[in-house]
Amino acid sequence: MLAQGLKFFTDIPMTSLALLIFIFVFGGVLAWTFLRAGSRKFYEQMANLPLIEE
Amino acid sequence: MKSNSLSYVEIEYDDQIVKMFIIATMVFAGVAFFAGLLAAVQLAYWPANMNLEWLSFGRLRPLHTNAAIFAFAGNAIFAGIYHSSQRLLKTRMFSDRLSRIHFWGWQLIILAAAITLPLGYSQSKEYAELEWPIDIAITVVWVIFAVNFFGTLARRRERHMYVALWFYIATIVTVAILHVVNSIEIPVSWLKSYPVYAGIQDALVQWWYGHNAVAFFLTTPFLGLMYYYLPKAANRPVYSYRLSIIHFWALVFIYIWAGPHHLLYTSLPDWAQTLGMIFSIMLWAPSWGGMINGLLTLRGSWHLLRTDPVIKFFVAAVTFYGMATFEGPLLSIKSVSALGHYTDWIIGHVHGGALGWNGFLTFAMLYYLVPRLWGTELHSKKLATFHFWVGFLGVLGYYLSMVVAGITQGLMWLAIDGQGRLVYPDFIETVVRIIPLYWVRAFSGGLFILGFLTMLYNLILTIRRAPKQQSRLVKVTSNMDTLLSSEEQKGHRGLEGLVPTFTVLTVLAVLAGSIIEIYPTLFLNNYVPKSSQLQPHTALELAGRDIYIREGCYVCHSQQIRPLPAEVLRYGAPSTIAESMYDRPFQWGSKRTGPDLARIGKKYPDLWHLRHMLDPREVTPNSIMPAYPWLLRKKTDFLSLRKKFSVLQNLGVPYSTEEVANADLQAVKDAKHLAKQLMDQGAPADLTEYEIVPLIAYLQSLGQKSKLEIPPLESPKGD
Repeated sequence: MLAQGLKFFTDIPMTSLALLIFIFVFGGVLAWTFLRAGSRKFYEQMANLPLIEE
Repeated sequence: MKSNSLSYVEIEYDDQIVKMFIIATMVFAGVAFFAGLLAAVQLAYWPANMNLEWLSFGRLRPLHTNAAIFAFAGNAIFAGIYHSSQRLLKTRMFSDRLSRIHFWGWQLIILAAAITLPLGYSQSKEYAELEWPIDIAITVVWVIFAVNFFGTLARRRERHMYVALWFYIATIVTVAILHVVNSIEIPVSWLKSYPVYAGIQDALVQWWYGHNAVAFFLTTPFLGLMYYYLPKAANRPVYSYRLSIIHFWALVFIYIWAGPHHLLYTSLPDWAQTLGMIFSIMLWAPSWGGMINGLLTLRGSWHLLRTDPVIKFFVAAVTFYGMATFEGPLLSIKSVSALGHYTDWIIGHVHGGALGWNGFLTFAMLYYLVPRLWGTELHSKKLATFHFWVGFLGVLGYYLSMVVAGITQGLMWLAIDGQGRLVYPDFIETVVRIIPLYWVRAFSGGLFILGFLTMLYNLILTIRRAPKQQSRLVKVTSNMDTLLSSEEQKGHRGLEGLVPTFTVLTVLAVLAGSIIEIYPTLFLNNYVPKSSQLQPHTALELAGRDIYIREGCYVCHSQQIRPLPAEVLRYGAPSTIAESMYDRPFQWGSKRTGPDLARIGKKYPDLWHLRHMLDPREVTPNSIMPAYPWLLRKKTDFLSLRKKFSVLQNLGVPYSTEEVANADLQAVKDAKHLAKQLMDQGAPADLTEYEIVPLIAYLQSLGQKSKLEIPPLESPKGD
């Protein structure tokens, strides 16, 4: 089944490029948000915004 | 607005505009749902077309989709955005006047659509059928909405833009880009135009638009609403704010690339199909990140699911979102697409998202908002719970019946016996087999509507018992002048307070995939073999093509033969890129309720087509196609052909100046010739002036216009 699915990814350069773009964007955002020191507390406060605005 | 010597100010939110959009949502939900139900019944029971041209399936289906997307979902989005943005930004909307212009402008656009679509004024581009004056009106109203929204952001009292607002920003800028780019067209008259794109360009731009209309009109704004209303309803903060950042950027960046998955196995270049397929699969990651974030927001509050109908609707909506976003990438894999594309599986997939995700999330929002805005309690929780269960059964019944119908039909289309022949050579066999499932679909849609009517009754009684409204001042404080710590300015946290930078980055994320995919196809000639000799349509054929578009034939018939063995056996050689290079708009279609028509030309005699259009069952027993008796009553508009030829010539179709100048005369001459041929075969005398003649001329031209260069066959089984 895996082979069936993979047999259509014949355009190797395009597939590789797409994967690189994905890893770059997804990994970049991941690092941007999770690897910053002190962001956890900040975002815990911001997550409460809808609950305290009225 | 009162100010206080302390650090707060008293303001009143503009809730009147929210109420207006809520009422419009409920009204147009009824229109969209009942139009959908009638369309569903028409497919199960063709006499429900009632021989009325403005109610025939080809015209009703665009009315249903436009009403569902732009009238029902659109008004719901605006209600939620106006309500939540004011509270998240701690300020009244930038301009009450702009809010009202936005509201009434949008309702007028809906009214214009409700009049023009049944009358057959359509561009035939799915979810972008409206003609050019309405397209301009949409642009103007959208800009007014954008000015009002960004103006509100500019005068906010909360520095941090909450995640819901990011999704609203992405919606506003991306829908503007999609709509403007896809709607570039040259008018022929007040209600007729031709797009500047042709064939494959038009197909790619249209499905870049069509797919991302789902992404940025039916997904991102609803995710914004989810991030605001789900925490409020559960009285808990979102599970992971940081996960929402990843959800947002990955979704916005990746979604835009996935449009070509609507064009797998077509004559679209392989590289574009590959990109569309891969990026569709990647969408699993952000979509499921968002779904998990939504569901886990209820951690510790799952008991509410038993008692609170609002939470029931939210949980079901987010679950349907997860299901639809799992199934979408699956359907984008070429081997699955070979089976599922053009079948009712896609209809089931779309409605799982539209009814389950958009519908239920809107219902949750309405049940949450109406009692609060009108300052009262919900009339009946029991009725709301009844709505949930009957609606839930409706969505499940709809989805399952269409998935089973689609897979059944797909397997029947592809079935080849040991001698290399089609197992089901008559297309109608594959239609008759699934009609019982069409009845299940109509019944399930009826259940969904029963739930909606219950909600309508419940909310009307809620509103009726509401006390007379007093102005409601709220105290808000501003943190716009407080200094940020250096930590708070770092990384994404700093960006969350910078509206222009955030918006520009969002636009760049959207434009990256768009430009890479669309730009190369602007040079269409590079993909067309030099040896192709395509003849453009004659004036009479063009008149017929415009009738084909007006009647919405593309809704049920594709014009694109995929390079699959079963399709070639059934329809003929695979479609080539050259064959549609002058087609404005392209007519590849997305559904085969009836057979593909790409090579229907000369397959049957002229008289067969005439009899077929008058009564399809006379030549194809058990056909579910509507009859088109008005084509023998309405006269052909020959006079407009000169202008149409002129516009097409300016767009690059190789008509000579003489052909343009004589287009109407030549069409009359050709019509006389064809009418005489029809008469000789036994048709009524002198049909020259009637619309049936150009339509037959067009149908007989399909597949007859170019010298074929047949691409190699592909097999979904790999053999």
